[in-house]
Amino acid sequence: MKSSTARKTKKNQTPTLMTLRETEAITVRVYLCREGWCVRDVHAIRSFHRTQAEAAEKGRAIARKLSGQLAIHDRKGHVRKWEVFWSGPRALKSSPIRPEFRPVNATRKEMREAMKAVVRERRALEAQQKQ
Amino acid sequence: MSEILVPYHYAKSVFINCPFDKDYEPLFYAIVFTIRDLELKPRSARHVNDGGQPRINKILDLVENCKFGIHDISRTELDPIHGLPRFNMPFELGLDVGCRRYGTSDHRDKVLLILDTERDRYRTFISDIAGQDIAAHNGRAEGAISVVRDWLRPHLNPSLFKIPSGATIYSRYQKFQLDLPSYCHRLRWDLDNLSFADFMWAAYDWIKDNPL
Repeated sequence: MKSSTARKTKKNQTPTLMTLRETEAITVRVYLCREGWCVRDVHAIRSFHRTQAEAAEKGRAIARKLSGQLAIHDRKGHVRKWEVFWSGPRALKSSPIRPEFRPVNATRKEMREAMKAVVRERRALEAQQKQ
Repeated sequence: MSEILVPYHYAKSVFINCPFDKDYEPLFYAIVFTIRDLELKPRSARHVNDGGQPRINKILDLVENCKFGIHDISRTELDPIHGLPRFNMPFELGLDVGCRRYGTSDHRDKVLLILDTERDRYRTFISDIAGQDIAAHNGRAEGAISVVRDWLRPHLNPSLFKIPSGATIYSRYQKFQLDLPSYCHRLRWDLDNLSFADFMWAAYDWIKDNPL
């Protein structure tokens, strides 16, 4: 059976960068709600427990299975402790969230090209001013 | 086992409840840019284009689907024509407070920020909200940016989010504003009548091309 702490990349392989979305997908959270201490992953609440320790244990098992991370929140909702269950290199790659609606007044291609041209022009101007 | 009813981006969505008039636009766009720069998702009743849906339903959906809420109650002055104040913003603030109290267990962690022009002005017209996060932007974009950034900072995990200072975001916003006219010119858009959707895409592209 493959160990949960196995390397995710080979020794000679370039480590892959994770996006925030990917990191969230492997984060299990333990926090207090009306029904008790609940264990929640990105999809659903998995279970409710009477004590935080019980919930943390359950969360730990899920996080270990996912090779992910566990966030234990305190009563006020702040994260008290992070536990990480991976051994391979997993750097974060953050990216802005795309707007959920389609552009109306121009195509995406036109917009991307316009913005790239504007930024290129400004950078050239800044470089010129520095000289 | 109970199912989660909140969407995937719930924990990253910020509902902006503010006036839609022209005078407020610089502040509104500064807040939108700040939220985008912190890699969160700004949402407003402005961009919900479903004409068949009653406005209140759009707002209720936004309240339900956003963990963070920014409510600007600065436009409570009397209307010069009708002599009555605007009640929309305080009403939507009430909906958000109610959602946190009576919503599902996921809504217990909702976080609200109340903005006003002056810090203690609310005591004269809506004193029931005392004890919430209330901050003043003094009607300036720079103030709004640093207030929103400082409010969001404790709720963001520094290992997942890059959190620049308010001054850094403001200087980036100024650069973005300098680039915006030539961007609009290239696309033959009217800068003075830029729609919320177009502004969002412009900010998205600019942040992508100018990472922190």
